[in-house]
Amino acid sequence: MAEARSVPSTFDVDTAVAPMSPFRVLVDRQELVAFAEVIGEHDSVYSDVDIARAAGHPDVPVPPTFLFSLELRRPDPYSVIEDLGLDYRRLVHGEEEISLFSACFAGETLEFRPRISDIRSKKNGSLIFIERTTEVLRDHREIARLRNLAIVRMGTS
Amino acid sequence: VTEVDWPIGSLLGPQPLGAAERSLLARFADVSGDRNPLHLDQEAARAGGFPDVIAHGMLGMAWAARFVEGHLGVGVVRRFVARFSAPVPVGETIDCVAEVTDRTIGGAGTLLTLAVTSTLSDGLAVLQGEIDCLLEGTPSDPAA
Repeated sequence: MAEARSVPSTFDVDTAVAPMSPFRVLVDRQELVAFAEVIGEHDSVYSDVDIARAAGHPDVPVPPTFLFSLELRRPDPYSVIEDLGLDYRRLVHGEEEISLFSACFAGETLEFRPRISDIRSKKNGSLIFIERTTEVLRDHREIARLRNLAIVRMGTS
Repeated sequence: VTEVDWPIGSLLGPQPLGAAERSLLARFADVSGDRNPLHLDQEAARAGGFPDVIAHGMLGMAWAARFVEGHLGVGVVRRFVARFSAPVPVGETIDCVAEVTDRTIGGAGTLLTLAVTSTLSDGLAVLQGEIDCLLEGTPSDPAA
């Protein structure tokens, strides 16, 4: 078990920086099929490539919320929280948003460009709100955008 | 042209979506890549201020998207914003209901906006959101 990090009692949102790097992901069919099964998605277009192709798709489609999972493929997904000096065990997701401009399918290579788009503190610094916005591109064209609002509870609150 | 008869005020559900069993959270961590120990390790959850592990917010979103697509068709979701208004304790069952709050008819089809709410068995809302869905075709009664 990793050594417990001390939780800072205060957090300066004005000086916080956390650069993030773009990365590429090959969408794997087996991973899509496994995800669909676990979430109880029984429409076989999501699990059977023959049925997907018969429906006019190039391969099985990406379930809309699976893009959040692909976005977690960034190297060391929690490092951004640690880079900010925060404890990810005290992190909960407040809000998530996905906008889809084009359908995505297994076999495609997608580029993710995440960035921290906003950091603010609330309730006298007891809550830190971290907003991450990620553009998803295929062949240099934006096909989706993800927004994640994480909340880190500070101190003992 | 397909008929798209989902006037404003139409309801989808309520419908049970699933139970956030411990084994399911472990499997969801594997397939989603969200391995935050809050969802897997009771000790870590306690350190985070919860009595036990809580469900992934992403699981609740995946369930809600599956629910809406089940009614309106695979691939219709164009936008989904979800606010996680309360944690989902392990073992809880989730129900979901969606209401059509807006309907715009355009060249690409009919864009429905739905207000979606997922609740625990005691009625507490844990996910509140909005889903835009683009359906092919236009309603038989555009004024409705």
